[in-house]
Amino acid sequence: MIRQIIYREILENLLSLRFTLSLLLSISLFAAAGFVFVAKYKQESQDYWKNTNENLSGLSEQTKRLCDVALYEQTVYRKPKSLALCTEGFEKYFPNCLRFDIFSMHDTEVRRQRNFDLVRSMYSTEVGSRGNLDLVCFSDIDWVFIISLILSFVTLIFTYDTICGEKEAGTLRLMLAASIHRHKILIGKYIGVMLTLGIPLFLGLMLNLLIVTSSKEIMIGAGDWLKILTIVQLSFLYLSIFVLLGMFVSSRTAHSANSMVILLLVWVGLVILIPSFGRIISDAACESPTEAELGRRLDEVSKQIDEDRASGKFGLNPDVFGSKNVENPPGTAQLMNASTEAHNQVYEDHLNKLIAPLILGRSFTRFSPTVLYQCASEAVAGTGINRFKSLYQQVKRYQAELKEYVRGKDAEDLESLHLLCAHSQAISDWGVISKKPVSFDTVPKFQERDLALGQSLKLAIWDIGLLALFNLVFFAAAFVSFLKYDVR
Amino acid sequence: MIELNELTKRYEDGILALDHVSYKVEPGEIFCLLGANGAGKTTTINILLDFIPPTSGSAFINGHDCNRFPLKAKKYVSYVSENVQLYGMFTARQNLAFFAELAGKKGLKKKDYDDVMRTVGLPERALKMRLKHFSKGMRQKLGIAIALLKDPPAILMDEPTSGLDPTSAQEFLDQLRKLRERGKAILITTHDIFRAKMIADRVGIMKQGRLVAIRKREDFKHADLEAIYMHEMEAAEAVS
Repeated sequence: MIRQIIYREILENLLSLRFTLSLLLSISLFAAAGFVFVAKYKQESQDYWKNTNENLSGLSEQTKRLCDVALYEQTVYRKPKSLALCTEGFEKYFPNCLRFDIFSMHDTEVRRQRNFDLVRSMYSTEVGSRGNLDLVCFSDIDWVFIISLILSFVTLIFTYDTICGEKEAGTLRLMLAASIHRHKILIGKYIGVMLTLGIPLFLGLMLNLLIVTSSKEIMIGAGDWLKILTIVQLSFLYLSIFVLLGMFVSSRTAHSANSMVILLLVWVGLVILIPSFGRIISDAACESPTEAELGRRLDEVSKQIDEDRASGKFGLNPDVFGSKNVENPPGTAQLMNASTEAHNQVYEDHLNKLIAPLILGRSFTRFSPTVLYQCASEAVAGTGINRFKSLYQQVKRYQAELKEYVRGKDAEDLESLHLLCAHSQAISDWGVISKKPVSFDTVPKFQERDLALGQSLKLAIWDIGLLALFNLVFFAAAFVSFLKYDVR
Repeated sequence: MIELNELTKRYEDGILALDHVSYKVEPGEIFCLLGANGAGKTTTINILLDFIPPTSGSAFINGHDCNRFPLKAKKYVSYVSENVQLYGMFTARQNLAFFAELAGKKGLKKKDYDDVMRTVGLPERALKMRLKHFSKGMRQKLGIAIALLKDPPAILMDEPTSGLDPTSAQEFLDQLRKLRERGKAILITTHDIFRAKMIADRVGIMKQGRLVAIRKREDFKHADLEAIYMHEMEAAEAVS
């Protein structure tokens, strides 16, 4: 009997104007998203390769002297991701590149900006603010935007009259006059609506992927296809919440007009208000460090280092500064490294404090299935805050690898003092690092690695679990409500 | 076939909709429940279809308790509502197929649909018409067609002639006679004394939840049923 109800539900929806309109809306939005993404990806890709090649040629020029490799300020750029097609994840608000040498990070954009004004996009090499994350709930037009905002609303249009509409039409009495369990009607209707919704979603996604894959610049690998499939499943899990919500409210009201108004209010709350207010609350709860505070902390660290130096910790003459301390190069190197390390720690703390409000904001807003869906999709696609954190960690690992490389090559040079430190004058005057050339081929190069699907799912597991929980709760609510529904 | 034993229903707001009502509708019998609005006619049908539980007493269809075993009881009954709406975007055939399949009638052929349409007096071409183009009379007939396709021993009808034009109402009564000939037990709730007199084998007169009188056909065949009805109502008023 469930089969008949599913069939009827699908047929009725397919014959309705709302289906035709939602199909047109879905197809046009996904097509637009596809074209926009292809154009953006092409530009970003060109910029990425241009900048990356410039960085590598710069590194290549430094290989004439090992010490220059050590001091060379590399700039690593975020590679445009094909899965940003699914969810861009506010990537434009994060730094597009990280600058560093083997001693410290020089990601000045990260250091200097307050909160997520800091996070500036520069797929061109120019730094420029493109928006403030405090003011946005949604990123560019991508799958997650279309599904979380547009299709969730379309879902409610399909479900607001699922039960009460049948009551108004008198067909619910006729259905229940047959020898059929109420739960079968509910399940049949649920599956029917989900399958109906699947049509505009599926066709839209197919068209989008067709547009994207027909572009020569965009390569989607096997692993990416698996991730896309996972995001599609997440989308169904997300939309299912709204189907069940619609059925629940519909089975709590006698008139479809009332049901629509209630659902509209709930939708605004879940999809618009909670994601927005959560961020405001998080900003209030977790204050971002200011530039002045950073400066103050750096001054404190410098002062501490000076005190240590004055107390003779590094074995240097307190009255003699810089390269004049010719009698003690190891002490100077030790001082420089201690200073660099302390400053790096301050910068890293500052960065963590800058990111903290966003993470806290997301935690607050997890009452909303929309935020859960966004977070889970970003984790699976490897975009957003997780991607930025991963890039930062990868750069730090690369930095350590390059440092080890320099140390190893330096050890081979008997003329070097083997004192790695970021002191250009000490390097040039005393030769604390080898000045011999190295082969460019042997120098480690940075390559950003994507997380495997399993690792991505680990990041998303809580969000997926909560999405499933939302489904369960709304299903139970709709089930109980419909069992008690007064069909008179 | 349809049996009510001391059936009582008191709503949450305290209104007594049914007060110890008992009667039986036998196979091949048309039983008309007459009464004003709020007399408890529709409440009786709601209890028989398990839309609401009784406060006390019991109702049976084909020997199955409607409250304790509603799914079993509903296997033996069809329901024709006051205002048959059905699915406007579907054709008559799609509507028939859906409700017939819900009733467990699978694999119906074109001939089955044609036959049932002919039986209820609808043209076969109407099978392909969407319900939104049907008149109320046509929809009522289709409601009976749905009931016929299920072919149960009992049929419940809630104000079935309400809003029908005289010709349609007459055709409807002809259908009921055919159903009676086929041995169906038919319970009809109505205000329409004129048509009740024409079709009923027995009438039950209800007032404020009580079944105040049951009259056989012989009692009103040559008498004025309206006068009997008014008399019973006044007598009930005097008693209460």
